[in-house]
Amino acid sequence: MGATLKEILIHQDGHFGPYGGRYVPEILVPIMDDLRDAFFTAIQDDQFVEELKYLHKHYTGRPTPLYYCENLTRRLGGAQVYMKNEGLLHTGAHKINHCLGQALIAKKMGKTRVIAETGAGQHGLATATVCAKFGLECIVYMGAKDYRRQRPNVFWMEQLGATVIPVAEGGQTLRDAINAALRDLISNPSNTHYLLGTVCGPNPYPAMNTYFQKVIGEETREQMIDQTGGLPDHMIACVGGGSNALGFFYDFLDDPNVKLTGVEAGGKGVDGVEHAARFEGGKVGVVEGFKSYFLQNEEGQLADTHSISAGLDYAGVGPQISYLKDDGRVRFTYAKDDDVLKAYQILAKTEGVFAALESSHAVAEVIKLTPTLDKTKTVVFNCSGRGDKDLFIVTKEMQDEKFSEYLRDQVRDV
Amino acid sequence: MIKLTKQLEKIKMSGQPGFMMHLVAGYPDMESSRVIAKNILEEGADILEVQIPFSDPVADGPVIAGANEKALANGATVASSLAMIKGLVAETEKPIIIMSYFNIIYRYGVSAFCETVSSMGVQGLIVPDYPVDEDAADQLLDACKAYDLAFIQVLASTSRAERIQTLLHNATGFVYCTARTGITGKKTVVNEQTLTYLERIRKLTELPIAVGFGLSSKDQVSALHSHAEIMIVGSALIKTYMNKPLPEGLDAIKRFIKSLT
Repeated sequence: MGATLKEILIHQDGHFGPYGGRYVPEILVPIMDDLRDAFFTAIQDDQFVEELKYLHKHYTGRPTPLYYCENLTRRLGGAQVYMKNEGLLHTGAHKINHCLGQALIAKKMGKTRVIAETGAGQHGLATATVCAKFGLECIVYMGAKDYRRQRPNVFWMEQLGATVIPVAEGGQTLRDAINAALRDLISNPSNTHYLLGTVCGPNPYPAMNTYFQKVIGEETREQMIDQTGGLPDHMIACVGGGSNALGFFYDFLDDPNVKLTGVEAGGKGVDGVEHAARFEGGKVGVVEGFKSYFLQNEEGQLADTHSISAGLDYAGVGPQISYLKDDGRVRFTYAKDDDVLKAYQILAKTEGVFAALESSHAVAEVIKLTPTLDKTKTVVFNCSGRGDKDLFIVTKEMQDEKFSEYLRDQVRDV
Repeated sequence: MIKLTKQLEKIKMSGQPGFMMHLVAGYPDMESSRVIAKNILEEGADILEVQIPFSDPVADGPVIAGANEKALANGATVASSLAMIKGLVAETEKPIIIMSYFNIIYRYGVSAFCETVSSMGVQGLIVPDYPVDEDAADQLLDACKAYDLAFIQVLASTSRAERIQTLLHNATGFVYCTARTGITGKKTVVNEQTLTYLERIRKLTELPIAVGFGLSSKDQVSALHSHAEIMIVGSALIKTYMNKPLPEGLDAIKRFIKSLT
């Protein structure tokens, strides 16, 4: 009579086997309890569910297309390749799914102020967007290093009315932004909602964000049946915190014939330290409010990580993802920076789609796996975001001299 | 935890506020932190709270978080922190308590950690990111019991009533009440709300009450003493010696502690 995986991975208690939990300072406990209660009440309310659906259809642009990659399929010469294109959503990535959901919850709870952490700025941008729409004050914490290197996103967030605060502590990246956001929440518990941007953090965030993201897989199921007459044989998604992967996989967790693959950031190789593949050398720990796999040293200090894609450059992974790893339901692998960059170019040239560097990790695995499969099989990958945001990273990696020249000209004109 | 129990009794009998003073092991470096700790004990701390530095100290404000970061950057490890604490315990009669985020303890092994620090003579643990709800899996409370360590519960004024009961039920040593909504290191205004909250806790427990978060001046101590036996001083103390050469820092510590009493 065992529970289904779907039941195990979204529930009020927030423990997923040994993972998850709510390891927060006492002062945050009532805040998390209130949020959990508000969320689980809201999703029983038809009006809430209808409002979310309406906004997805008319504001964010759902359903997103499921697209048969005919040229890529021909080039790879194996299984039939399909792409779920979340990059076509408003703000350019799946992040808007949980931002919209959480903004509605915040409104329902009477919160007037929303805070968020952001690494590359994508989650901050999606948060600033929904705050603008719902008239919520928006504060985005960003590591000072990210703040400097992601100036375009900082500019857009400010244009949307958000206040972006650079965090000068620690390594001045995503982790420090998370810590600063938690401190803000501790200081302003009554009027503030912390809009956490992935399936990490204390209960109820992993369950709540999974719920708001599972629409990706639900649409994919309908679209696959519609286009191919059946379920996919393989599904592939990149895994940073895990929000796009869980959203994509969730609806298929209890369909054992659908093989699921998560792709972590292999960075410059998993033998060294410059990567973010938690399942290649990470250990179980309790950090930032939840128990899961983390890249850390022998004594439990979190490690610094590296990935070409800022969205995957994080030492932790969501607790439900760790559960699926141990369970064996999802197979995990990794893609290295150089393969990711090649995948990015191949998808652009064959299908005319710029995938985000995060999503290009999934594309790299598609390129590796598909030729080994029979033509009768189907592979569908989640293009979780579009790649225009990576302009500066890609041009730098490709050492595009003309682009550098352009930047120098622009500087001169300023 | 006999040293702690005796000290708490002594504080109660004296009618004077007791002071628990905090520092981060390894800040600014391990040897200096040892000297600073000894100094704090000599200048008037009744209980010493030594924090093992952690890479992600979410419950700490910028001052203590910065000290954690600096300590790690200067090479502090869990092993070297514990060695330093072991030396301190051997040289003082006053109780020493370890503050650590849970991952440090978890990676060491919950039971092994408690055994190690208890055998060193450490009197108790403060683990700010370990709510009792998780104890079914991690069993830190049992390990504390088994190795005679006080498990200091941190209470918040916003905690739901039935939860406060649960926390107090699991508390040993004393209870740590936060005096304001917020993180360590910002000046607390002692208001009616704070005092009412402390009165509420007083009615629910026999244990001594320690009050912390944002304490930095004598007027705060005077305002709180009728409602709590122990004053916790953290960030304000670190502020007195941060970015100063050691001799100057020690002088500043001396003046600061004098100014509180």
